[in-house]
Order: sequence, then C-alpha cells, then structure tokens
Amino acid sequence: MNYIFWLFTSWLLLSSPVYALADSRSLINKALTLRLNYDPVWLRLGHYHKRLGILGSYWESDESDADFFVAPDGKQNPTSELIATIRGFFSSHKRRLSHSRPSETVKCEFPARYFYLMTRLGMHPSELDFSDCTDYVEFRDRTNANSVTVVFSSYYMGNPESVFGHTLLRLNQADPNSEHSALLDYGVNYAAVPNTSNPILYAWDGLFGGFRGEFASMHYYYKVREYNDFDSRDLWEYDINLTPAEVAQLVRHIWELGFASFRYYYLTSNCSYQLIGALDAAVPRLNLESRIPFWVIPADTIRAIYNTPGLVNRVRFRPSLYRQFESRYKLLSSREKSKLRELALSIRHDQRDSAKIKRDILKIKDATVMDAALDYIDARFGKALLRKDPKISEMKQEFLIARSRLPIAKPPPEISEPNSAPHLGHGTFRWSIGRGTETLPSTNDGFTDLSVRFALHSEVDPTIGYPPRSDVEFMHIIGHIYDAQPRSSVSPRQNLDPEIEEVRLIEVQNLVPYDSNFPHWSWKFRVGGEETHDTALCSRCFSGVNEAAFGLTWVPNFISSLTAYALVDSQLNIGDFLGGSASLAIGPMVGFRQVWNPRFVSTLEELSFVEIHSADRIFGSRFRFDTEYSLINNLSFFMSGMWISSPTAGGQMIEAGLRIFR
Amino acid sequence: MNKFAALSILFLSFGAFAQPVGPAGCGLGNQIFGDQNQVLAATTNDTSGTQTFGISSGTSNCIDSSRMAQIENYVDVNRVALANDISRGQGETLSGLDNLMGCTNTSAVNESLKSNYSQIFPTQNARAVYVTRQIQRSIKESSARTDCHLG
Repeated sequence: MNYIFWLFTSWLLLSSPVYALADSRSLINKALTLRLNYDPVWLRLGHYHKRLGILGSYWESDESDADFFVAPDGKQNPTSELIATIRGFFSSHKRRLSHSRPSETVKCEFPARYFYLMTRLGMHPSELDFSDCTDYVEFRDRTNANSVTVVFSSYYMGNPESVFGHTLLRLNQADPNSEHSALLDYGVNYAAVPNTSNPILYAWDGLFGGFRGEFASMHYYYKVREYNDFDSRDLWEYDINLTPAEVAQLVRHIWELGFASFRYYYLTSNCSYQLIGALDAAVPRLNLESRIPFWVIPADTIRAIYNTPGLVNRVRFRPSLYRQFESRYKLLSSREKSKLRELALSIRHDQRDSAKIKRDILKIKDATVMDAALDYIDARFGKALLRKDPKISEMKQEFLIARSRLPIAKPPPEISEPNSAPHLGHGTFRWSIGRGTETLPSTNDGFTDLSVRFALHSEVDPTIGYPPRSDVEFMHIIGHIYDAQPRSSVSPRQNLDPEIEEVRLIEVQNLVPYDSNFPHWSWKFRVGGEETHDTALCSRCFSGVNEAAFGLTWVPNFISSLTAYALVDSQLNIGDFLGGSASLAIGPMVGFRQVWNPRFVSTLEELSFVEIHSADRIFGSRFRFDTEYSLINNLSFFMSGMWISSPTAGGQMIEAGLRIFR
Repeated sequence: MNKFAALSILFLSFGAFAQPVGPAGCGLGNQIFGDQNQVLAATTNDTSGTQTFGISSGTSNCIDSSRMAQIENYVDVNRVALANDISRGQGETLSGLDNLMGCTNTSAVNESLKSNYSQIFPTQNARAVYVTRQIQRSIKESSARTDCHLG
C-alpha cells in the first residue's frame, strides 16, 4: 500500500510544474558539481574561447548576437549561461528574438545544448523528445541528413574576396554512395552580410570586422549554380565519416547557429573558421581547431580535415562550367572542332542576325557538336543568360530547340580530376631562408634573407593543389640582414640590423590564356612597401608601392607547360624621399613561366619603364628570374636574381636558399 | 609622410581597385545583386538571415513545403541547366527534377520531356509556374504518367 502511494505521488510530482522547477534546480546543482560550465563540449557549443585580458584570462564567446545567449551576461560567462540554459529547458516561455525571427522556447532554440546537457545529466537519448519544437522538427525533417560533406569552392580570381576559395557544408539526404540527387541536399553556408556598396569600406569592413556573418541553409543546387555555373569554379566535395548520432547533433547545432551572428573577419573569423567551429561543437573528437593556425585559409582547413585519420571517405570533383565545355570539346574530332569554331564565330558575331544563326544551326546534324556548342554558349555567355539578356536567350533558344530534335547522345564520360584538389597542395604559410649578394654601383654586399609569407601560393611554388596560372600572396614580408656597413648616404643603415626589404600586403597575378572564344584579360596587382631598387631617385629608400598591370597571356599549343605574357605595367611609389609626392613608372612587361614538372617551376620577366616624378623622366629596365624546386613535400630550394639598369642607379641581386611550407 | 601613412593610402587604393563584382567568396557575401534572378537573389537572400528561418517557417517562396512549390522553385533556380538537360534528354539537373517529382521510369519521362521541349520552354525566360505546368502536362500525356507523383 505504502509503495503504491509513493508511486502515485511521485507520478503526480513528475507531471507538475512544481517538479519541473525543483528538477531544474537539482539539475543545475548536478551540472555544477560535474563542472559542466567548463566542460569542453559545453564551451564549444557556446563558441567560447579563452582570451587574455589585463586581469588574467577569461572566457568569451565569438558570437555577437544577444539571441544566442539565454543569460544576459552569457557572452562572457559560461557558468551563468549554463544555469540560465538549464532553467530555460523547463520553461514554456518563448523568448522574443530579434531580426524578425519567430520566438522559441530555450529548448527549441538550443536543441544541441539540450541534447548534450540532458544526456550528461543522466537522461537516455531515447527519452529526449523534440516533438514540441515544431519549427526545429520541420527543419530537421526537411534536411533529413544522413551524412555530411565538406565542400571546397576553388579559387576565383575574378573577385577579390574569393581568391582564397570558400568552404561550406552539405547535409546529404542519403548515404552519399547511394543513388540520389545531391542537388536536392541542403547546403549550409556561412557568409558576411555586407552593408555597404562602397568598395573601400567593403574591403576595410571585410578585413577588420565591420560586417556581421551568418549561417544560412539552402538547397545545394543554389550553390552549384552559383559556383559551378555563374563563377565557373570547380567544387571539391569531401564526404566525411560521422556516426548517425554525430550527424544528428550537427543538425541540431546548425539550427542553433541559425539564431547566431558573428563578427566577420576575412582572414580569421571567416567561412572556414565557422565551419570548423560548427563541426568541433557537434563532433568534439575532431578537434579541428587545434590544427589550424590563427589565419584561417580555406585550403588549410580542407587539409586539416583530409589529414584527420579515417575522417574523409571519398573526394568528389564537380567541374566548373568552363571545364565541362573543355571536356566536351576535347572529345570532338578535328573536323568537328573546326565546325564548332566556325559556329562559335557566328555565335559571337551574328547574335543580331537570327536568320543566319538559324541557318548555321540547321547544318549541325551531330548531337555531340551541338552539345559542345550549348556548353560553349553557357561558358561564354553564362552571366548574360542568368541575367535573362533577351538577345542571348533567344539565340540559345534556337540551339535548344534544334538540340531537342536530335537524338540522345551517349552520356559524356566523367571528367577526370585536375591536380588542383586543395588537399594535395603545399601549406600556405611559408618561411624562406637564403643567402645572397647585392651589387650596387658603389658597393658589393652579402646578405641573409629571412622571409615569411602568411598565404597562399606564388608563381614558382609547387603547382599541385592550386590553379595553374593564378597566384595570391598575402602578407609576405621579406627581410635582409646585411653582412657589412652599407654605403647609401640617403638611408644610412645600422650594422646587422634586419632590414625590411619588401612587404607585400597583397599580390595577385591572374594569367588567363587568351583565346578568341574566351577573350580574357590577364592582370596583376600588388600593394605594399619596398626598398626602392628601380627608382633612380633614391637607390635604397623605403617606399609605399602600388603596382597594377594588364595584358594578354599565351600558352602555346605545342608546349602547354609554358606560359608567356605581355602586360602594360604601372607602378606608383610614395615615400619621404619623393618629397611627399608620388612617382609613377610605366612600361611594357614581358614574362615567361615554365612548369618543368609540378615540383619545379621557373619564371623570367623583363620590364622596361619610364619613371615620372615632377619634371624628371628616367628610363630604365629590370630583369628578374626566379626558380623553385621542391625537394620533399613542404620543402623547396629556390634561386632568384634581379638586374636593374638605369642611367642614375642600377645594380644586381642574386640569392638562393630554402623555403618551408606549413 | 611616414611609412604607415604611405601604406594606408596604398591599402585604400587597393580597396578602390578591388571592386567586388561577383558572388560570395569565402563567406563574404555579395552586395550588388538585384532580384532579376533566383540564383543571384539567393546570394543576397541567403545572407540576410531570413532563409534559415524561412526554411523552418515556410514563408519564403523557395522553401514552401508543398511539392508543387518546390518543383517550381527548382525549375526557376536551375532554369539554364534544366533547359539544356531537357533538350538533351539527360543530365544531373534533369535527374534532380525526376527525383523531386518522384519519377521511377526516368528514361520514359526524360524522353517525353525532350520531345516536348519547345512547349515546355516556349522562350528561355518563360515563367517557372508555366514551365512547371508544361512539364507536368507532358508527363501526364506520355506513357510515363503513372511513374511520377505529380500531386
């Protein structure tokens, strides 16, 4: 009898709010006894990081949106956030959220926290029920995630913020090896929310935290159309090996991140940093964050993921629109190729003459030529088509109608992977140590070169894992230590003082082979500061420099390893020695780049210039060579030289040494 | 003028040089797209913070839970690739559509869509609602009509 009475009263208690309150109190006590407030997983779920202040270290969350915290001081206080979160789990009160988000109870806003904390506090996962969280359950069921893929969108030089590549997650509705349409899966993307159209502010805010960044999920087809088609970027897909429980927790945490927004920093708190933060929070065993440096470069995070034993199941390649055209074109016979070239010519020139286009189209009887023609139109005029340009759309419609009357062709063979997969690439951080000599008109001096580059890839670095003719260098600092007291009277130098030879804040070089079917400019630009060599006004003075060059690139058919380019170069120098004004040097530049093999690359470059400073006109030239040979992975030998001649200054510099990548 | 000032001026001129024109890079969203196109719109929409929640609440047109709305959205966003695939009678984007419509006998469906290409896409820029209706009609009139769930 007594027994039944107790059973009955405890049932009453269990189903009453009084119990809930008592329960939250006891659970909070239990959580604090277990020290869950400093539990690594709890800290990760709150995106807390230890920071150093004047009064010692403290915890702070990366998150900057108040909606992400239940406690008012939750951003800096994981303990009060834990207490408020557990108390919130037992409240049916719906919190009012900003940004016109629907209000949610704490449990429904934070299902990952709920799941983790409640299982730590002794509940069995099967006892945890989210059926009262309609919105979350709808999100979970719609994404229907079974497995996870990390997607890398390759470097895109057409746009400054894309030069490092991009990463996102894909939640696969089925086992990725089964037959299903990946286009219908969900992509989870972290991006900044720009609030300016001023390019200067845009660059500034993007680099220094002026934008908010947010997570969003959408069908993967949006991303394929955007990156593969609109930008013509290759996508690399890394299927990762997570248990069903880990996938489920990741989906819960992604839901939580939908309520979050972070301060966006292009170099540190970017897409890859947030992606790794989300993965580490849901799957703490990965601990990816410990393996990436302070600067987060998307390709480095891909390597961290790829090098985690047993994590990556399979790598897939999704070719860009341009590559799809290229592969179809390669399949054609030489007669068909010339037919297609003729057609491309009339596509470019007779867009207005629809009758002529129609006549040309009717001549094509072969589905493979027609398919290549369609890909050509997309690759050449893709942006115009997406913008619904009427002329291009009408012209393409004629092709499509004609194509639909031809039979179904054999499916095109799978496009073989180029060797630009990011996981194969060298590390982006690079040290150089070298010895060299510098000869100026009056002296001859030996020096030791110590250089550091934060990112990413130069024209002579090993080519595997990078696009073939695009280079990006960010924060490249070149320092020299001279052996003897130097001689320049303009800038006297101390003995053995390391001297900054050059700072490249950013240098981008994009050499795209010119082809009448795909006419592209080649260009490069560089911003930073340097010791002047090639200005006649002062032979060793530090000067701010801004260089921009435009021109054309040619890759001969018979030696595809050779790239030749001709650019018009302009270089603006600003420095004390110019009396507060600037000097401008303009001239033609010719260069060659030879890839002997993927580990051995050489470049030669000749620049002739006229330098203009107030009334002075000084003619000069500069010749440079650079060669790098990869000895083993992440260790290269390099040799470089430079000759400058001008009526008033001039000299040469030769050096050799080692480069270490990590 | 000191070195720092010189560097900052150059940095700013780099900003002027670096006109952001294309879509999102490493998470840095795009700023100049209008609403001419869903793909373009998505690159701005998906960063506005509404989409995750649109997905959950079914308010935005691209995430309506009904199958019809999903098909229409798919047609609209994938229109260029889908028109190619329908005229060719094969391709990943067409398979995605078959999948979305729950079609089992895809070769018959694809064949029928191919032969009706000019009815389905009377112009490249036909409205997605119209294209979707034509796709359904051409399947209903074909031998594959029982193989799909057209709702």
